[in-house]
Amino acid sequence: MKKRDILFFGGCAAAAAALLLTVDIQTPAEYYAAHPTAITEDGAFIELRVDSSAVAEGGVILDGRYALAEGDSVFDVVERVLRAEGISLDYSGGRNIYVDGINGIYELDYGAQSGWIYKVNGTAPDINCGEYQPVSGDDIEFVYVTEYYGGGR
Amino acid sequence: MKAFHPLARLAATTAVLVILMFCRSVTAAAVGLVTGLCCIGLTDGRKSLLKWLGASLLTAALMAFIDPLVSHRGMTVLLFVNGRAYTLESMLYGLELGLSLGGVTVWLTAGRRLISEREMLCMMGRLSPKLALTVSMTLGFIPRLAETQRRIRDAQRGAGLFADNSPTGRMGEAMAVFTACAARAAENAAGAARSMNARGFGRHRLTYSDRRKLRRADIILTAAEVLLTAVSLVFAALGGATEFYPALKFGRYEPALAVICGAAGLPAVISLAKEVIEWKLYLPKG
Repeated sequence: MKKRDILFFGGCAAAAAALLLTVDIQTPAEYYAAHPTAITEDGAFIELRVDSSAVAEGGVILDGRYALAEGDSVFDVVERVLRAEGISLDYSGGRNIYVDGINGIYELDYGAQSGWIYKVNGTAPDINCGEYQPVSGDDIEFVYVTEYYGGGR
Repeated sequence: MKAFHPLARLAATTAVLVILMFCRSVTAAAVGLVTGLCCIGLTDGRKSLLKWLGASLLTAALMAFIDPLVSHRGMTVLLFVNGRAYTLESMLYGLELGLSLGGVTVWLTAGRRLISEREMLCMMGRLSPKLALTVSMTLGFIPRLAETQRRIRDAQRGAGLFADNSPTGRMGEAMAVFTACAARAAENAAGAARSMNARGFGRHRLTYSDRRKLRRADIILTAAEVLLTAVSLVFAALGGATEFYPALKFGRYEPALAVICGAAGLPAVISLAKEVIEWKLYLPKG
């Protein structure tokens, strides 16, 4: 093999190795061990509630206190908790997250204005849940509404 | 499939392409890919079939690997990569995308074997000469580029350039050939445009020397392909295709979409197989 080929393949191998070093791969067990949803004594936490009582087939899907990691947005903590609890979450958007459905209950299933909204400390923020960063002690609620401006029945 | 009118052949090819592109169904994508590969195998032989099969499977595998890295939707988490879920559902969605992409590429290649450029130009040229010219040039671009690159490479090797067979030597050769090809295309483009303009390309409706009339079989095939396409789109719109998120669920019309895709591609496969068998039987023995 020529020196040029050795240098080329060596460079490719070094680049691949450098890329792999930046990639952190974990199994689900390792990930949840490192990012537990259960709260710790001194750790930050949020109160999370997922409520679909507005519809006959729904109810309170989730209600509890969960750990909040540094830099988590509302969506980050909800996604982590719902995955850990085995509750389905369907969403769209990359930067602007929109929650389409939780636990098989989707937007528009119960009327043209039905869908999921989120509230923090009782108020619906003006930004999407992927951008809002809660602080420790915040009360986060995902509520399924059948009328968007009426607050649901 | 030369026994059929070009319009019928175009309908058969377009039907499968539309189904593959617009119906998000795993099974239909797989069936479309298989029928396309059968057409390629019957027209170009086993070597070409294996080449396209390998390329399609590689595309599907790459898409299946890459999609979970950018889309983290889905319930079944296989791994966490940099804190982001690498899910089975995203992988299956990537696989479906790859199979569809492979199927479309294979059918576009098969379509060029089924319908010649002249037939395509004349069919569309009766309606819109500019559209006919654009479609013909677009479909013919890759094969012409590959042929030009092959000729430039052979000419350069014949002149004694790039005799080095090492991997870096081959890469250098590929870059030099591509540069020469791009320069040749740029130099010829202006002259080709003037020549085409002088001959009235894109301005006048084209006539076709083979004034083959549409027979009953052509009309039946065309109508059947159009009907199959319409039905598949309706089924897909009614939510019959595969749902990948949050969990994989086959749609109500999944089996129907697979059958429709197979039915749309089958006339081409049967016709080509019949021609191959006839050629083998009619060739003198001994």
